[in-house]
Parts: sequence; structure tokens; C-alpha cells
Amino acid sequence: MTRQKTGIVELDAMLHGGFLERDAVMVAGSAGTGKTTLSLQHLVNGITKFGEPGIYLTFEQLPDQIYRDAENFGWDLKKLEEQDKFRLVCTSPDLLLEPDGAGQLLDSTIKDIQPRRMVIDSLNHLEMYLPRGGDMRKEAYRVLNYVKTKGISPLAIWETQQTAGQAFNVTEVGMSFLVDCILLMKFVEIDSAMKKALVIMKMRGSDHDKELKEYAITPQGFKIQGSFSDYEGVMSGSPHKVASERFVDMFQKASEKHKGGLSH
Amino acid sequence: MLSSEIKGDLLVLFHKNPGLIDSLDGVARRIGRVGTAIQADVQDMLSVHILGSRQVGGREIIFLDRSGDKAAQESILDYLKNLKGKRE
Repeated sequence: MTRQKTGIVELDAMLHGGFLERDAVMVAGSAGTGKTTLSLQHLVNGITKFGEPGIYLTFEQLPDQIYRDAENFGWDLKKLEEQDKFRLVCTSPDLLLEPDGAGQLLDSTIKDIQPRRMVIDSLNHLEMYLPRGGDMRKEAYRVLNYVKTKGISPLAIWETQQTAGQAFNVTEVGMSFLVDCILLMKFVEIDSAMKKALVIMKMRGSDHDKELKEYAITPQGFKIQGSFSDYEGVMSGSPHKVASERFVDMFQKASEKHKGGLSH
Repeated sequence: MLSSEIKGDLLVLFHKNPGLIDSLDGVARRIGRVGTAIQADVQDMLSVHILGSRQVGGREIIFLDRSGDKAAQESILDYLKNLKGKRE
């Protein structure tokens, strides 16, 4: 099996070497969790570390905002465009939903740079522009298959509603069966602080790390920091320390209290 | 070339966002106007190959013609150089 590395070492380890080539990947999470950063880093690393050109297809943000945001992480997208290794395509979702819209919009770009990776930002926008009675799953299936048949691995962004609390129900998307791999990013409240958590919810045809990991968006980009091994119920939105950790806490507090008592 | 404010807005929009591919109305919205208001200026820019167009689902989509735009920039630069040379 050929793996497509993200270039984020800890994430590749979680994926047991990377995404499977040409698998459709969904990055799901609420606003502010870093979906765009993770996706861009996947593309930039693909170009700079693995020689795989990429396309970022956006419906929402104008490219100049994405160029600017990428620059903050030290990624010079314009330079990569000049080298014909990257293209940032911005269009309206309704055009992509036209019969052969994907081909008309993307064929020449694909011919120009021969991409191996493509980010679609986002599937929610496609859904917004779906004509009444339209079937989102069919349209998403069509777009993802267009990308796959061009020999490109698609990574689609899906923005979920919840900000904190409540477990993400992958069936809410109704498209989980269309994608081969789902990465879920979410905010969790632990010890009165908002932290970010990532979990691989599904990876068709491959084993993967099932543990929930804490991550941060650093000036260098996406960084996985460790696991939430001391906590239970993180995904349900009400995390609490595991029994053994609670016991250690109680013991420490009692010990400190005892020391304080002796010192008086 | 910059005979109207709309052309200037379109030029800035496409230079800042060279990967923009959209319908006439979609492009117009992005500069705070409506399709009918920019139609004539878009036609002028199509005729000098700064913009390109093709059909998607019966609608005309507009994009930056990268090679045409580069050629236009070069000829403007040449013109300015010649102008400067003549003055000197």
C-alpha cells in the first residue's frame, strides 16, 4: 500500500505512515479548530518534502487571505505557484455543481501542474448551493470521484456545528461512507481551559491510532502535543480524570495539607 | 487600459487572486457590484486577453489569462521605457 505522508511526523505516526494514496479524506471540526491550517500544511509539505504538487480549491475565502495566512506560517504559496507546483483556485460552488463543472473549472489547472493532492474547502459550501431536492451525497461523491480519477488524493473539509461539549456524530454528516478516512478536530474543556483534540475516527483498509491527541496551532503550523491519557469522557464533552489520577490528586492534596499542618 | 474604475477594481481583484474562476455575477459580487455593471469592462479585458472565459453549464466563467496578462504587462513596461527614452 502506497502511503501519502502529511509531513506532520506525529500525525503520520497516528496514520501508521500516512493516508492511503487516492483515499478521500475528510477533515471535520468546528470553526477555529485549524482545519485550513492542517490542510494547507498537508499540501505545502507534499510539495516541499515529497515532490507532490497540489491544488487548494476554496469557495469561501478569497485567495489573498489564504496567501496572507500561509505566510504567517512561513509558507510562500505565491512562490510555489510561480514554480508551477501549487494552485489556489477560488470559485463559486454552484459552478462546480454544474454538469461537468469540475472538469471545466479544473482540467486546465490539473494539466498545468499535474497535482497529486487536492484540498476542497469546503463540502459545506457545496451543500449550501445545492438546488432544492438535490442530493448532497451524490454531488460530493461525483466531485470526489472526479478528483480521484485524475490520480489526485482529495482532502475535503467539513465544518461541524458544535464548539464545545457533545460528541461529534459522524453520521450527522451523512457522508461518512463516501470518504475513506475521517479526522475529527474539536475543542475540549479541561481544567477550565479550552484545548484542541484530534482523533482519527475512521481509516478504511488500514489500522490507525485510536487515541485522542492534543494539538496546537504553532507559528510553524500544526503540532500534535500528546494524548489525553489521564482523562476519560473527552469526546462526550464532559472529561474527568481517570480514577487512578483522581486518587493521585487526592493523595497529593492530603499530603500537602498534612505538611501544612505539621509546619504550624 | 484603466479607462474606468471598474477595470481597475477587476485588475486588482485578479492580480491579488490569480486563481479566481467565477461567473460574471460571482466576480461582480466580489468587488461589490452586479454583473450587468461590469459586463462592458469585462468584455474589454477579454478582448485584450487579460481575462479569459469559457462556458460552464451554459454560463460564461471568467478567469485571469495568465499568459495574456503577462504579455500585457510586458508591453506596458516597454511602452513606458520607450516613453522615458524619448523624453531623455
